[in-house]
Amino acid sequence: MRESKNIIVALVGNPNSGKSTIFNILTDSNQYVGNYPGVTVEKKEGLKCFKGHNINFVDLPGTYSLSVYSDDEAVTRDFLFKEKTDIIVNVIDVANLERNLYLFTQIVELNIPVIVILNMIDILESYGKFIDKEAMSDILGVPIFATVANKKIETYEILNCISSFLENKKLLSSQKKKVIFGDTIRKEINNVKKLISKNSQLQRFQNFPLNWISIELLENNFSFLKLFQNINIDKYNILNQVKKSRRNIEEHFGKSVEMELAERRYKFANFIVKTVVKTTYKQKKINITEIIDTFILNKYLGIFIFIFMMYIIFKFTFVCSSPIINLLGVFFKWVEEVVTLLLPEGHLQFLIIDGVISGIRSVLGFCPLVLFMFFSIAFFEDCGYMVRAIFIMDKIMNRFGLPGKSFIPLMLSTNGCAVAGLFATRILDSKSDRLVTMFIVPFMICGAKLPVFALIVDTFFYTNKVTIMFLMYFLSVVIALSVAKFLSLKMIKNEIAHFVMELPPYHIPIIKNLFLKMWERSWLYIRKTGKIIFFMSIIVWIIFAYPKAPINENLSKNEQAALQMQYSFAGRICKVIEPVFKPIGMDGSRAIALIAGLAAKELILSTLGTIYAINESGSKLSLKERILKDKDWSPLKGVTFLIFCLIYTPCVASVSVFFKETGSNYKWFLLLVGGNLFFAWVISFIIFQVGSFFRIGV
Amino acid sequence: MDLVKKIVRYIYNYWHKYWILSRLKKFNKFNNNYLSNCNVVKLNIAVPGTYKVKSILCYDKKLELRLIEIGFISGERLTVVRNIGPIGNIIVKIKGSKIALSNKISDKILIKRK
Repeated sequence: MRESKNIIVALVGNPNSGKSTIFNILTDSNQYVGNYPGVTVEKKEGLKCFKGHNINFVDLPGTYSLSVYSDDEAVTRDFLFKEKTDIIVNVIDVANLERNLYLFTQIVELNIPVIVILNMIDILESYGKFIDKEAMSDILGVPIFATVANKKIETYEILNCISSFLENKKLLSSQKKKVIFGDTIRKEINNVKKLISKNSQLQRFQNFPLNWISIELLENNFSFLKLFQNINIDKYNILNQVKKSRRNIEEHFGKSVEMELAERRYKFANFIVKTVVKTTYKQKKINITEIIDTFILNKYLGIFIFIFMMYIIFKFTFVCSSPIINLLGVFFKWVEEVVTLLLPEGHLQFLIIDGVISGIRSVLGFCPLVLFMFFSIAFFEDCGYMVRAIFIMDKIMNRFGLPGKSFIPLMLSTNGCAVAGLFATRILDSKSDRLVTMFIVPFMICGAKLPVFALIVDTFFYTNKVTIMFLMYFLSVVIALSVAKFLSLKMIKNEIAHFVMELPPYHIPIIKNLFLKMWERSWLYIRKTGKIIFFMSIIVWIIFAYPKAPINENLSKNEQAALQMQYSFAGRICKVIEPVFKPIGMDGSRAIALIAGLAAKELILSTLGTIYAINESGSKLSLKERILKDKDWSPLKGVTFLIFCLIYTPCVASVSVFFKETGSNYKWFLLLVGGNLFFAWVISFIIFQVGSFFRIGV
Repeated sequence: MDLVKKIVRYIYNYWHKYWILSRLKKFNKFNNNYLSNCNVVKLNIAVPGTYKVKSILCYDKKLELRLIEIGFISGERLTVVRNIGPIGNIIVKIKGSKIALSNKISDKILIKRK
């Protein structure tokens, strides 16, 4: 293993310590980072070739210790326990040195080579302190690098150190300073160790040192015990000894073993901090974070500021994206004209203009909207406001049976994709909270639904489009929270929701990071759209254009299009499904668009675009103008269409992730697929019938 | 215009009264607890100030371990930055960083005067 040129390097550290930023610098990759915990919920890998070595960096979710509290922390634990890691890079936030060293004390016990990166040195210096890294390196017995994550400092040295680990056996065997647990605890550790060493199977367990296994057993580490239970050996004697040793320690110190061991680890960390951190001048009294928090975390003002911030996001998005959307419209019209000139009239020309270009135009035309939305959200994430928003929302969310942390998956889903939101539910501590959140994540207006909402709102409510759009977002939140309340009361028994979260200091976002984040999320949207939309646009065009209706010269152009609609495959399908959608004010073509949306929500708009392009072939009108011209549409029907689109079954990708993340449970899967469809139909029916009765928006 | 002024004054008076009373109520509760429990109180009723962690009273061992790992070890210095209302969340400073805790969790932590 050591002679091979492939090195696996795991990046481990506390949440929000800057692992992802360092990972980006070390691997030259463009992974996004945020000033809030939970950015990384799944391990991410990046390869770097250096001096003939293939260094595979693995960015792991942040954790306070090796004991697991939430599912994202389990990813870190499982990687270190099960995978063969060559080197661990421990990223330490020096502004919180003592707490970060707690994790270090656990990592060194694994007997894997460790490199320490002291991050955010600039923040420590702003407090009037400096750290003696040479002294720290001597005491801890590990190589230490100091860096400010935003600037490329010591990248070469870090990579050089990693590659030299393979060649320099001295570094590998260097004695690392570990926590001194005292005579009583050491005696009990030895007692457990003796029993373990008798068992050959346990001795080889994951190649971890016996000392570490004994400490984990004494500490009652739930995650380790789970692994331990899976080993097929006679555990009775060992567990009996552990029980006895725990009792002895508790009697001797008068407190729990966990508390005693944690205290010893913290004492060690405190000793390091006192030895290596020096104060140069007195700390400045003005703390910007404290001043801003006075207003933002205020009991009453906080909610108003939160609503105001959300409104700013929508205003910024719509105002800035509007001129670019218009420009894109002009561009696509020019492309259509070019294709008309280049290709002879016939099936191919119709296929490209009415099928492919219409489909792509209807979705990609809204890209600027998505880009600006991502940018504004990224700004609030990076500056540190989002975690405060979670704190403010916690009280409100609790009333609906959800913890405040549920806000992160919901926000991610609102910005980008329900799939990202479903993955982000891993940060939730309780299983029932996670299940409820996973159910409500698809109700948010994701990046794929956003163009549909933008089009309909822009078409029927042009004068108040920002306000109506804001209300639509508000409605999606109300529906999601109501469903959460219903589920937590009636179906999923909710455990107590715990809220423990670190509030990072505010800082000015780095523009490069904002663009990276915007690009990564937008690219996910564009890539997903690009993959399906081309083929689906052709399929939709074919089912609407074939079989061809006989040409009757007595009929007008519109009558001929209507006849074609009746003759086509789509027309026949429409006839079958129309009775189901009629009571909610939808005709067959809209129903087909919604069915196409089951594959991916982006297809709703592209299908509508293709349908109108076929029905009004040769027309140069935009989709918005075509919908406005269609007498079968009305503001009420538009709203009903949007509400159905908001609630009904999520796309295939979301459903499959939901199925996987719920542990392949068919009961929840069927509830999501069937329940959402039924719920969407009932709500749309009520709105449409009530609206028609009172003649609102008819 | 007068009616608007009246409404604004009424709302102001009501909230002002509510705010003062809730603060007083909390402060009284804190004082009573403090005197009768040998200077030991639960974190969720603590008024802003500096304290020391006494112990954690928690049946959920997983949660207890997490709190210990974050830094809630006995004797550790802790500053209550903000305590929002009787059922609201609480913000404390411990080991140099700001931690937001729910009322349910802070109910399980005992603190004493520094």
